[in-house]
Amino acid sequence: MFIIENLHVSYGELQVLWGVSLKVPQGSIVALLGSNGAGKTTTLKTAMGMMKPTQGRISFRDQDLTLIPTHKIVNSGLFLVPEWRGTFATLSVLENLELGAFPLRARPFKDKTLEHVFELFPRLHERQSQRAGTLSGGERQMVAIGRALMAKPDMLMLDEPSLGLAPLIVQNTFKLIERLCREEGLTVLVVEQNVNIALGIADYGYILENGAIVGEGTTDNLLADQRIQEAYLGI
Amino acid sequence: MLNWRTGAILLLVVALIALPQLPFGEKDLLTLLISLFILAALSSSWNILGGFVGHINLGHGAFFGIGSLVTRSLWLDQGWHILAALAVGGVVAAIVALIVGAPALRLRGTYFAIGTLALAEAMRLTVGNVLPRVSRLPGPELRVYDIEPRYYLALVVLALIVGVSVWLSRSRIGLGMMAVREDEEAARSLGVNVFLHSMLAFVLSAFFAGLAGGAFAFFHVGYYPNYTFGPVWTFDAVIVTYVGGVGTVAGPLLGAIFFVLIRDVLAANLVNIHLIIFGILFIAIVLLLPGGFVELLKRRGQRLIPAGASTEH
Repeated sequence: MFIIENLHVSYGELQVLWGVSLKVPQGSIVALLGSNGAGKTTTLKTAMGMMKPTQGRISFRDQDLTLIPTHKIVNSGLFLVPEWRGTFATLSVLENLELGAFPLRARPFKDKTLEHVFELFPRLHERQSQRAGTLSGGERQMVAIGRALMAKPDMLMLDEPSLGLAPLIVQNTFKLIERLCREEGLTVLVVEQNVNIALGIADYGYILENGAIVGEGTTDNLLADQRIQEAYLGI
Repeated sequence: MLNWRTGAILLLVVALIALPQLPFGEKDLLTLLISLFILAALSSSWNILGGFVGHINLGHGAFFGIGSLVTRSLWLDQGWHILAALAVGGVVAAIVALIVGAPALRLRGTYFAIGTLALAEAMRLTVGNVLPRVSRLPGPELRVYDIEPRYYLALVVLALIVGVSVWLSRSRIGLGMMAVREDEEAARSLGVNVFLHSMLAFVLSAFFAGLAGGAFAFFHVGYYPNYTFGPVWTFDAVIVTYVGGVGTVAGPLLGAIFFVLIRDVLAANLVNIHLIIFGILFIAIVLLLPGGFVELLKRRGQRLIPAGASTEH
């Protein structure tokens, strides 16, 4: 279980999160939904120790992660695929993937996981010596997810995986995320503006507005909620 | 292809080792090569921080200066063996980097560049005030001045730094450094300890700049102690690295060969015009060919190798 309790975060004087709380049960997919500037990315960054909360607590499998440096959080099995994926343009596909195995916990399995990633994405095997910057958006998405798998995470956090991608590739990405969860037991927290597609695979969802959770529920309940239909689904 | 390359490199190394024993291994040629080795070593050391991690250090000359000052005074004034003096010179430079790095590496981009530039200038002025006189080789030493050990020392220093650069370019630590250069935030999210990697590169970079400075002190007869602290050492290294190919192992070496050759050819005829040429070339390369000569070679190489062959290993 991944738990965020009463998280408050500020950029200098400007407070952006006002007591965010959420839970991600083991082996489930949870969607964190909301519009631009709601505080979704800040929530993920704070969970990864890349920003310091002024108040609140983050824990993963009963281990307190609040105020712990990022590389230790990564080593505890939590992994973030950042907004715009964060692939390294001038490094080769292989180097990008190898960097995924940076955390101590992942190093012994590097070669084996790499094989697995190449099975999952044969395209990356073909292009392993190519610079990531020369890849298409969809291929870079493969690099980002492949690199995440290289870290041997127990839980994956994805910051807007649909950003800048063609609809078909977005669909494939979400299918893959669902498969990784259902078949390989990966726990997933996905942040999205594309509410439809995120709720398509999620078990549970939270709605974030102006730095606070304003609604939550199972996927079916959220989809049936009239307020959410109007605000996010355009129905 | 790899075997062909290893063979060529091995041959070059053997040739460089044998050179002083050969009939055409004249003093002039050795002198030229020593300044080439020192410049290549200094540029390669700058490249560890500037090329691999992407922190532009404009105070690099200070570490060259510290290395030369410490090596020279231990070797000449204290009578140490040159190798011991050289090692201590490198270590002192590394320690200074460790102390300076803690605050300096909190700065980013232009601020890091300006901060390091200011630190180096402060050091240069201080050394100039404390040690205002030209340092000279004492008479007896001068009478036995032998170019050969200078040549070999510079060659060994260069070999060391190239060896470490090759190791870095293939190791996980080096990969982590390059990740920091590409995208600090993304590197951090992968579990790369950004500060530790930057600091390690800074210390290694300073250590080898110190060794290069020590080799210079052993080679050069007399100079003002603050001369080796001057910004010219920094900027030569920066230009050489960018012209050759920043962030690559071969780049600083190619750049240094080009730089020394052009400087020597042009300096004989046209005094300091090579500075203008390098200034223009530097700007042109940064704007038009950000990968430097190495990029140029790669592009030509790719055209020679049939399509698809390079994706197999």
